[in-house]
Amino acid sequence: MNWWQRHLVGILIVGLIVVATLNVLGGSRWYELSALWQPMHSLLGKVIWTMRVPRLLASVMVGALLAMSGLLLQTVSHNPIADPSILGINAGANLALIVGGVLGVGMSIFNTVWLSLVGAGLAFLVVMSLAMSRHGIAPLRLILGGTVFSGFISCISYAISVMTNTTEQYRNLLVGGFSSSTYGQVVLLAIVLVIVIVTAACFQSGLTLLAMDATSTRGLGVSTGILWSIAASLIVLATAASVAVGGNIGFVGLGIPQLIQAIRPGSFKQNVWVTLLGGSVFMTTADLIAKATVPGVELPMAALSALFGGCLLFMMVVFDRRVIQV
Amino acid sequence: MNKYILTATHLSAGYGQHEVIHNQSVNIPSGQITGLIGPNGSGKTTLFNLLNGFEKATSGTVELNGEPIIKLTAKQRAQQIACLCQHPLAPAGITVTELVNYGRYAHRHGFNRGHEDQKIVRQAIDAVHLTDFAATQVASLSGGQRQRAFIAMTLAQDSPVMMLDEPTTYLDLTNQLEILALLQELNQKLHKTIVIILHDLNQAAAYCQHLICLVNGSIMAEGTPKQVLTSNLLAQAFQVHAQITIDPQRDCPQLLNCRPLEAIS
Repeated sequence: MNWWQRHLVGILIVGLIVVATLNVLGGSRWYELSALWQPMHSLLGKVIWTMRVPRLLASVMVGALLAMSGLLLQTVSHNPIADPSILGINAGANLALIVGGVLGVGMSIFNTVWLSLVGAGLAFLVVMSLAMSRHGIAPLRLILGGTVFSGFISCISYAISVMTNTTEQYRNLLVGGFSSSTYGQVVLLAIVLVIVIVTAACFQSGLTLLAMDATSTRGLGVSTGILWSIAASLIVLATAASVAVGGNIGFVGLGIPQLIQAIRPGSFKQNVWVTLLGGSVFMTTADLIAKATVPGVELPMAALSALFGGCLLFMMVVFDRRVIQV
Repeated sequence: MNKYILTATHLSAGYGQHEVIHNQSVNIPSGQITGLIGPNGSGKTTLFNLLNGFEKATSGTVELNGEPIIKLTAKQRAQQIACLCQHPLAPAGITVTELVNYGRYAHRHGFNRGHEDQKIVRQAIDAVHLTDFAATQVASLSGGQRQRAFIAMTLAQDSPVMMLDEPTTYLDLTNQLEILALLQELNQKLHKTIVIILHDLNQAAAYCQHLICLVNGSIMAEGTPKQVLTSNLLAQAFQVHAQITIDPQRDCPQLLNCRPLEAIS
């Protein structure tokens, strides 16, 4: 292991602290570091603690959750370019939220959670059954079917919000972002993140083994059905919670695990925690860019992460043989 | 010890309407190397997957030491039968030691990680002569080394039975012979019962004590290599004519001058 690989966790933690501080201080207006010590009841303190801090926490946790669901999806599908957004799981949650909203379901945190869980879960089932062949999940069918499905679902989402004249209302969902994050959402994300982390930690060996071919995994005595269900639940849960808070943010689940894998090749078990950290650092940085580049304008998070993910995808297809190998 | 560790009686199996194996009975002798031979599509892999409990028979039973194999849980089965499939795929970025470590999965429960494990893993790596590569990434090994790493993984399962589906395919001759010699060593030293699918009949004759020849889903011949490899069987099962000699050193039949029957007639 070289220096970078050995100190990756440390670098990421330092990076997260730095970016998180900048994220709180930066935005349409930049504050000085001393703003963090202002009393809570002052105007400055209020801006910091009721707007910027929940926004920071939301982006940190959404980044971690999206990276995790991407890594899990890549592990279980044996496909390095699998990602909840490519497969349409994000789009499914998104559509469910918009349909719910248009039908008049109040957008309380509880409602957004179950709506996006239903949407993500259904989308996951549809995509997996599209990809099913006699020998299990066919990686190529998964990606192709997922891409088409994802585009299809996104179009419906847009169509519905255009027809009902609600594009402005659902702007956050459609283009992604954390501008309206609340402490309620932060609590929701924290609960989901704890569930995901604890479950992944308990089953990390089994989940790592799902990366092997199905026959070898069974030969080792792994109950593949149970582990598959666990992995699927975690993917749906993590994605649904992320969409409910941050809207349709894609490519994080693709880009971050791949980037970590490129820096430090390793199995699910070795890389899972670094990947979570990496997701947080990325999302916090992206959020800072989204709110601070053009003062007073929120850049669409979906476009930002698609820009990053798209470049990465190109590089992978060009330079990495594993994409073509099945 | 039972004479037969695995017994299958009146076994039928297939996919949907298509029956691959029809009403076959077969016994796997304990402590021996059994070779499954037969032309492509003869049902070798299906029989293999029935014997190790991966696939369910449509009728008939497979018994391991007298107990129906379908009653075992995944872990119990893995403690008894270690299995290596045709194209094993290692998770990206793992080392030999880690891979072999996964062989211990079936012996772990809850937070009991087993103190014996490390020792067994090291012994398995030593047994396949990969000691110097223990910390190497599986992906960067050569074909033969990688196959040995997977054999070490199945070895770490510490099961009385090892089953291998074409472990020598895609390897060069040196590596093929090394793998076979290794299996022979494991059989003799550790008294493993080994079931192996092989395509090379000369290798099967040289390394297996017991052969089962499958043709179109039924067993055409079963017994020692001398009993099974006859010119009659070669003609019927493989449509091949060959001169059969006895290798004086190993005392096993070997085929010379193999030619397809069509070319002769």
